[in-house]
Amino acid sequence: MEWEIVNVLYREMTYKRLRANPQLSTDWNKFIKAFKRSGSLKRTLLSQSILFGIFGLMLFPGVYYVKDPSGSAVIYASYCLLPLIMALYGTAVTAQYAISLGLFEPLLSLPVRVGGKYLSALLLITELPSTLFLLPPAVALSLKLGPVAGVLGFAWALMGAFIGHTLGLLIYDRFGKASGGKFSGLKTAFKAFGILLVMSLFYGLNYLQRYVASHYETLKGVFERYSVAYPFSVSTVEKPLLSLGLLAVYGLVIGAVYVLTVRRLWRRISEGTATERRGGRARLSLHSPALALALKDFKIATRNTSLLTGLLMPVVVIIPSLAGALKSGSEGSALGFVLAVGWTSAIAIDAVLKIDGRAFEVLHSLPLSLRTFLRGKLVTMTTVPITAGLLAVMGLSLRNPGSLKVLPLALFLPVATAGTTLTVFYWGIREVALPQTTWKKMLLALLANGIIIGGTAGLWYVEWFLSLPFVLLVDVLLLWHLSR
Amino acid sequence: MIEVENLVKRFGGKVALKGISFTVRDGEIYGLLGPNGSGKSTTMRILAGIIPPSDGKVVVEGIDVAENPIEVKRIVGYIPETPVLYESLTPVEFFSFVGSIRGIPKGELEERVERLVKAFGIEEYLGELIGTLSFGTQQKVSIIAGLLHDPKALILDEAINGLDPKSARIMKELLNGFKEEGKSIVFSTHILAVAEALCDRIGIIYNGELIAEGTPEELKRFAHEESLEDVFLKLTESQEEVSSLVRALREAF
Ligand SMILES: Nc1ncnc2c1ncn2[C@@H]1O[C@H](COP(=O)(O)OP(=O)(O)O)[C@@H](O)[C@H]1O
Ligand SMILES: [Mg+2]
Repeated sequence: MEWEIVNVLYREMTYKRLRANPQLSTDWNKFIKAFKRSGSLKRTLLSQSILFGIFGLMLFPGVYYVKDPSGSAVIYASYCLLPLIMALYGTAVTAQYAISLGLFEPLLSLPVRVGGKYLSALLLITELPSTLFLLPPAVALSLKLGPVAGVLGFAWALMGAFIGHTLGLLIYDRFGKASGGKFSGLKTAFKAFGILLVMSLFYGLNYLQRYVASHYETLKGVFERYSVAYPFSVSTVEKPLLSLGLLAVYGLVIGAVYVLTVRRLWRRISEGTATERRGGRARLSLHSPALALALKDFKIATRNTSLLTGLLMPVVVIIPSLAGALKSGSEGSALGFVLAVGWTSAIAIDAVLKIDGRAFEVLHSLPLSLRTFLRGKLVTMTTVPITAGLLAVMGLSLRNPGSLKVLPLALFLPVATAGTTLTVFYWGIREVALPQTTWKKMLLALLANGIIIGGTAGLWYVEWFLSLPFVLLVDVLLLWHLSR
Repeated sequence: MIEVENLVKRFGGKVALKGISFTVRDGEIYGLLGPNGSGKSTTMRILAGIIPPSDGKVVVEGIDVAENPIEVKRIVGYIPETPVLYESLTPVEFFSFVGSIRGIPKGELEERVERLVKAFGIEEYLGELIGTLSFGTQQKVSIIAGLLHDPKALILDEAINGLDPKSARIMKELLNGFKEEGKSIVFSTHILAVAEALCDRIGIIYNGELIAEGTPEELKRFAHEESLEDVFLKLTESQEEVSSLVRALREAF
């Protein structure tokens, strides 16, 4: 019965998510196929578990191939943060999403008492597979230090997920209102920062692993001293009983918080997405059509966490090449960074075409030509990469003023790649619509961008100032095409 | 003036409109009346340049819809059956967006928003996200957005459905005002009283065909019936069906 309700909620959430994807909702057959694939909770859980289990294998050697046994424990303890952070982020974001979809509305009219538990169960169950990430390192731990350590270690990983989930619910219950109000700008900034943080977790983890491996002696001391505040498994090795006791205490405390939060949650859900007043009456402001389109996109994205994540993705993807450029400080590596920015602005097409969602229909009733629409999308696609690129290059120039040579490219290359991608995707389309993403188009876009980026790089190495006219030529051609 | 000639619309193999013709004169409110699924919304969307006709000719204020849908959108005000709006914008932001795309001069936009917002009494919601507003308020936002550019022709798809009596009354007053200004107005509904009170002429659409047309009086005389409801039920051949359904319902409780 309970499982049945969660199952139905999950199906409904998947249905609505797929329905909101305009590329699927316009093609019934494709939609049904996608829904059959991901609409079953059991199937999703199974495939996710396998996926995360396999990912977790990457963490196995980090724990297993450490000489000192307590080194293994320290490294494992640092991994234990992962389920916590993932569950926290997943819960806070998905709770908002699930409720905004109106998933729980049908339950409201039924005699359900603690309805919040369904939201919690839905989120918790979908988060469980990610905990399997820690199964392989836990196995490594038990191979090194015996089964007690392994089992306790994995129990702590589960506890971490539970703590994260509870905190996520608490955050949602406390702050989960739709954006608006006095501090909405600040909240957006925080949200953007949080998203960047979580998305760069992967790089962070890589770094952490190396850091922990070389400093585990000191860390061990710190972890041990604060074993009550940071209990994850470290004490497992030497004091399994203490660890077990801590596990019980944490379970009781967090459990109590959890129960209270879930009870309160239902009130929030039944009230719906209550918004605070958005301070005062905003004034009407007019812009050129293309700019108005882009501004609308950004307003929507800053009020929707998953869209914001998509728009900020380019920034995350370029972090490694920025790190590389910072390390070497050469002009060549600054160029490499700008080329990476060029690639990522092409990738942004996916997020940008999702922004309008169901409201795309609005655009059909307005006198909007495809060219204007595409110019607007071009602005949306390139704003984040160009800003990030310009800022980063200026930062790099502090180390090596020669990097300033790539500054114009940081401005013009994203326009070329994003514009080319739009042109390819909209080839043969004559009115405002959402294009089907076919393999052919993706391949073509990849090829065209490869030529632009390769050409830019090649010309740079012939003579650095030659690359700029090349990119400008592409830009001019595109803008001419988009303004006809 | 809106001229519809032999309009056909096919969705895949399904024929939603089977060649309908009618004319809406300047300063006239034309009611398109029909049961659910008869093709009203499809007709309205074609008139507004949103979807292309499969066959036939539609000319709005001298502009062919199939040839130049964007020009048609420029002069037409279309209000959809269910409001489709950007839910994470506020009404003011949405009006700004529509005004920008349509290139409405700032002064005019401000004046019209002010007037319409006041008429529909939604001042207090202007700064809230559209997604959090009630259905009726969203409907009002949708109506206002469709009127911002002072359209020459109006296409209203069941636009009064979600409104409270006061707003419905205001809407009727607005439409009568537009009529006096000489705008052509098409109005679809399945609520007969509304059609009878508001429309100069009515076309009854059923199964994708226009089966009768005339003033409310003409229709009644023609069908030898007392009320428009009887005319409607008679023409759509559902009278027998309805009474047997009603009987079955009564027995169920
Ligand atoms: N996009 C579409 N695809 C397929 N069939 C459609 C589509 N839009 C409308 N129809 C069909 O056309 C017919 C007329 O629909 P509609 O114009 O919405 O009717 P009404 O507005 O009078 O209720 C219905 O049978 C409907 O199922
Ligand atoms: Mg309809």
